[in-house]
Amino acid sequence: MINQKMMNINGSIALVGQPNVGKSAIFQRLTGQRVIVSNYPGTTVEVTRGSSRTLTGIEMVDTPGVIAFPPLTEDEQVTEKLLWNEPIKSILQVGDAKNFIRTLILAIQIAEIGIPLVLAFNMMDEAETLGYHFDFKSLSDHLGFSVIPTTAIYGMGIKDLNNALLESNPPNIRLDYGEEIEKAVETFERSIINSIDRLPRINTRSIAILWLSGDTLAENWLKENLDQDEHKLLIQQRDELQNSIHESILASIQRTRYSFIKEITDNAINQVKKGKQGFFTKISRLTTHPVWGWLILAFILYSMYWFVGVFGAGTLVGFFENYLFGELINPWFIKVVESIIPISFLVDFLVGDYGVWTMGLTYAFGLVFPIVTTFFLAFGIMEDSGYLPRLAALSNRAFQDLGLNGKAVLPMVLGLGCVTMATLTTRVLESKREKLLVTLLLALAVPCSAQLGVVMGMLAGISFSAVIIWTSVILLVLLLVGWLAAHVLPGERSLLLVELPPLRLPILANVLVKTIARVEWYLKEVVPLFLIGAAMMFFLDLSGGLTWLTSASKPLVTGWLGLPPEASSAFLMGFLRRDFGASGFYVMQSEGLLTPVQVLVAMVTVTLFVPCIASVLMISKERGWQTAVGVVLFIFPLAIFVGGLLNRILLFIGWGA
Amino acid sequence: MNQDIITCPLCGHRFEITGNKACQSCPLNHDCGFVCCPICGYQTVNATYSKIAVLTMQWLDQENKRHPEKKPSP
Repeated sequence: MINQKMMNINGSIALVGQPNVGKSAIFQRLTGQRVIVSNYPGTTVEVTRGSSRTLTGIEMVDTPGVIAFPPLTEDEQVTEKLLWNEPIKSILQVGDAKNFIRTLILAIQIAEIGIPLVLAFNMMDEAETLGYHFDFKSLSDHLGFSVIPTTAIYGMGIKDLNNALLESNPPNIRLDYGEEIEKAVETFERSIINSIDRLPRINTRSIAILWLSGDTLAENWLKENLDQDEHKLLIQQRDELQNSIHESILASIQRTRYSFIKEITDNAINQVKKGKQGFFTKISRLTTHPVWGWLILAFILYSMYWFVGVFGAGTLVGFFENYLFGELINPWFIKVVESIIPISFLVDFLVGDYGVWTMGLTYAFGLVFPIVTTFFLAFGIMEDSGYLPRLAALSNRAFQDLGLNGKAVLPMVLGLGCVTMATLTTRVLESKREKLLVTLLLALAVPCSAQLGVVMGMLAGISFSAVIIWTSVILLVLLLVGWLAAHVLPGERSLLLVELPPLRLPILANVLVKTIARVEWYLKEVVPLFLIGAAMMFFLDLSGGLTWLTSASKPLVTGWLGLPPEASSAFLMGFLRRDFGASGFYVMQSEGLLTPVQVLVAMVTVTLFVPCIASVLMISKERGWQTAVGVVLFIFPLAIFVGGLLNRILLFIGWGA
Repeated sequence: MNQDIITCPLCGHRFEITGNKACQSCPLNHDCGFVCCPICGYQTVNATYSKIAVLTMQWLDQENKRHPEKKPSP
């Protein structure tokens, strides 16, 4: 029950916490529907404000995520400025209970500021699943502020948080950072108290520690407010301190904080590991290992080859396309159409070589449906097990070794879900250079899950070595173009910070439901496109356009790529969507029109095409039409060039012979 | 099985589908059948959008109730 006497208080409560700890979920629970989102003055960083649901007159401020102080990013700087300058009544830190050491290190830094503090140990359900047991009384007593367990997403612990916020007091915490640092802190405090009239609202000791740690805000404040000579003297003392200790001042301070927290948590927190968890922890470490990580990826790829390629594209397609459509449905439907429609043009339009039924619907349901269903099942298992963030961490290492941007990896992993949406997420990248670079790489060489399924299904029809060659060529192009672009467009590189959620055994019900939803979405999206594509091919064929196109593109398609002339129609389909083009090649392969080398060349070329029309529109919307045109003009010739080069290399080494 | 709360497959962040900030700022937000994580932007499928998936969820829930000794799906 909330203390009614204390409800009529005024001021702000700042929600502070590391990224991805459920801060916004707690903010939503604590505030009403009406919130105001505005840029923090002088920045593009958003700060959300709303009135407390239960504490009258209290404004809740959702600050940008901060990993630690001193801040490194603009977001973190905004949070620090907000704590320095705004009339904050209390701070509510939201932390991830699973990552309690990291959470508590930030908590110590916030506690030192001297503003009343409450710490929400959030995501308690996940921590408990991992076997953690917490003694919250012991934690609160030793830290000098309340620590409240919460699971914000289910609204658990919110009432306790409100009560704790009402009763919060300035934390009673003072860590001993060692004689030399303490002496420097004392000198700093004395100097600013004697010389500066208007001190910030935060504790002078905290300002001293931040300044000694190299904090920019503290440094700027000092420059503005302190006499030049005194400022120089403090800097000299700080330099002397730095010379007298064997590590950086910040490292020394953090080490003391870590030891303090370790001692508390050793007594107040314990973990009972279950057998399975220990096993998953070991596997989890191996997935990001520089050697084992790639071997595990190869194993996953091999398993997918069997499941999607051999079973999906072989057994299931054999049943759906060859038997169901090829022997039962299509012969019957063709007979019905021919008997009831007397106009041969309409008959051809429906059930001819490029008929909307015999080509459009048969491709969609007989060919693509079984392949994407098996692929979405496999992809769902990867998603549900928590493997994707590990893949991001693993590839990040390879990208950084080649001098590429770490942050760029994340949108590219997002591209595995949908390239169009991943193009949208390049907004989060900091510089124009990064945005352009990642947009180009996404459009060039990151196939979305549906396209990956069709391509993999086709390649599996040849051999596993075809899958390996295709993966290697695509990765090589991705890395090479990325590396070249990174050097042509110089700029600052930023780090990839990705938190790894626990690796677990996938829950089959989740995977099943997701697969059904994905297949339904895919069919809704591609069936109309396949029908339009088939109709387009029909009219092109009818008007003689296809014959002209086939002969016009002969030097490229036959001469350079080494493919049969009919491949130009599959490429034409590939302009609409990569997987539509791949389906065209699949049919050619099943009709015996393509050799293994030709299948591989066709798949590499079509994968390097622009993913789909939607993605081009998105590039145009996000980066402007000039960039979109530039990307398209760069990608298509490059795709053809790489395809032709691969054709020559494969023929030279005698692969597939 | 609560599909209103989604765990992002990439960053592990859990969020509610309703009021998802990422969807509000997306130009393709008209019933696209997908939902993006407000933290990392990863696009995952919104199972409540698919009628067949919803029916499957209901069936799985009924099965869980009928066989309570089995571990219920989250």
